[in-house]
Amino acid sequence: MDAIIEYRDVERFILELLSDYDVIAPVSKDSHYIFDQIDDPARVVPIIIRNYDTTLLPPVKWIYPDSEVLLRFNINELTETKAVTASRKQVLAFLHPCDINAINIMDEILAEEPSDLNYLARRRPTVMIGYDCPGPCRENILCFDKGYHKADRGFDLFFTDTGDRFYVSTATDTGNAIAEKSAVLRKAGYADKVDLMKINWERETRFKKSVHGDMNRLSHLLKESYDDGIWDIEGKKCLSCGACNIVCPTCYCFDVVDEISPDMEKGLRYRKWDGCQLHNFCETASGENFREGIAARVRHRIFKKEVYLKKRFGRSGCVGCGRCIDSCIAHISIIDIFNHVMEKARGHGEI
Amino acid sequence: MKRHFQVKPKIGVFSFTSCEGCQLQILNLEDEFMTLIDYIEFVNFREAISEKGEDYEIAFVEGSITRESEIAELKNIRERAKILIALGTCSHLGGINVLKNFHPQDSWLPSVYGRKDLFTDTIRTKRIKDVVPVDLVIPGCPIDKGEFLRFVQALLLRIKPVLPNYPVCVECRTKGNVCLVEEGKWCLGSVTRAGCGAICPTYRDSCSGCRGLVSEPNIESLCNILMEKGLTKEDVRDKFNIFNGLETINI
Repeated sequence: MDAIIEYRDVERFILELLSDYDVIAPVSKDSHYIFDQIDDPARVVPIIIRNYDTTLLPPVKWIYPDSEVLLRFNINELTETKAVTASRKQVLAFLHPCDINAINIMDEILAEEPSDLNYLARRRPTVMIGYDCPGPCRENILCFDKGYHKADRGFDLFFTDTGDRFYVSTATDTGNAIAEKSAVLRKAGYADKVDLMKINWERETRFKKSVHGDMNRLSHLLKESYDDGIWDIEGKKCLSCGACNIVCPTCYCFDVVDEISPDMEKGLRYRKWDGCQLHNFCETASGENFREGIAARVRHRIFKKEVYLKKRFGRSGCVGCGRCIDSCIAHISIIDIFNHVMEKARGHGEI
Repeated sequence: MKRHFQVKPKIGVFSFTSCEGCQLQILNLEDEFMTLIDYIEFVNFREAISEKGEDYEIAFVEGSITRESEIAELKNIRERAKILIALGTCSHLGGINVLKNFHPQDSWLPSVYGRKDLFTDTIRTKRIKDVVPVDLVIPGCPIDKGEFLRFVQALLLRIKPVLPNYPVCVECRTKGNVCLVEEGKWCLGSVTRAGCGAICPTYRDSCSGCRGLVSEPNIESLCNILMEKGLTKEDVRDKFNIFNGLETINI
């Protein structure tokens, strides 16, 4: 059932969701936006939903938290070791298409055998509500170049702004059940559906490409540029601070650490986010570091998304949200790097 | 069956030139501290006990060396202890006590102490590693009490305690903070060893680098970034000098 909801009823809709789910939605923080757990539905306001740009951290954090327990153990009795997963009924609300696509990519990567049980345990009971950003949200984005500015799956409900209310598309049984149960959603009529088509068509015309060249050739051109001078240039700038990894909605690498209780009996084994840009990421127990040198690490991040993941799953592992560009105080930009390899290929008459 | 750590290791906590805040951090463990003393025995710990035992195996040493008389004291501790651990920025890096090294003694001594002749036993600030070999370091101004606990646990379990070798940015970004440098402010978090939970930037104060540098800091790039924000090379040097005045930093 596709539906319509008035702006003023959004708060009521969130209240309805809160009776069955934890709700995570965009709110403002220091002139930026974040996804936060909502206790007071009044915090979820149409003006933020309609205007928020990319959040500081991606919403996938609520499915793949920065730190989570994998094992509980007793340092005296190893038979008491227990693997742990956690899950809860939660709604990730008003996700932009880039972030939905990112979660779709994470689903694909982490469901591959051996699947990531901790991720899947949190992912399965998570309801996703999309919100169609009306156009480019910022300068440093390349979602349109990658076709990730639209989401065709991965959500249960999807909101589109019509200028005076929201059009709500339903995509799954769960989404339908939520829409039908709601007292504030009314069935969309024929005129509403025509409106939606017009809005979607207009939206498409607002995006512009950031990378000049054929994105289908990117993976190949990067491979050709493995020994290009650009990696040294960017490597000289890179602080190895890992900001790009942490804000990335498709970075999933982690480190494992143990924590022992003060009474020296119980232990928790955690995983916590790690990042390929950090110096010790590739350090092994022997002390050998097999990806030393900042330039090699900078190159690896780009190749991981555009070459290695593309080879495994047939599509780029970067959704073009631009968080890595905005968070890089050293001004390393994947847009600039992609334009460089495209430009070089043009110079060689390759494209 | 509960594992018995057969002998309680004897521990001494010692203080040189410092505010003694790192010793206090140990006591700030509170309930956890009371559990900890089931496994270790403090024999010398000025902020906590009156006894002054000398039969310690592990010595935690806070403070930097700023008086000639401290050198012999430190060497004596080193001789007695099997393991010597630098506790906090003053002992690890010299800390803010190093600031005096950048000025002639005559220029600051009267303004600090009033009468020059009262404190003649003052020398250029040294890190404790400049005087004796140091086995391990718990960095920070002050130390993180949780890190102290993890170090003691690691020693009990006979495993090597590990410090993060990634910068403060990792913890700061993970918390979802807005980057201070993006806001046009200075911050040394991108080259400073994490482990503090990015506490200063979380409260919107710049990281001054109290935990020391990561193993491969890109000082040149950070310097360029900070100069874009309007700092001069001298300004950047001054920021590093707050806690890292004795470290080799080419700006």
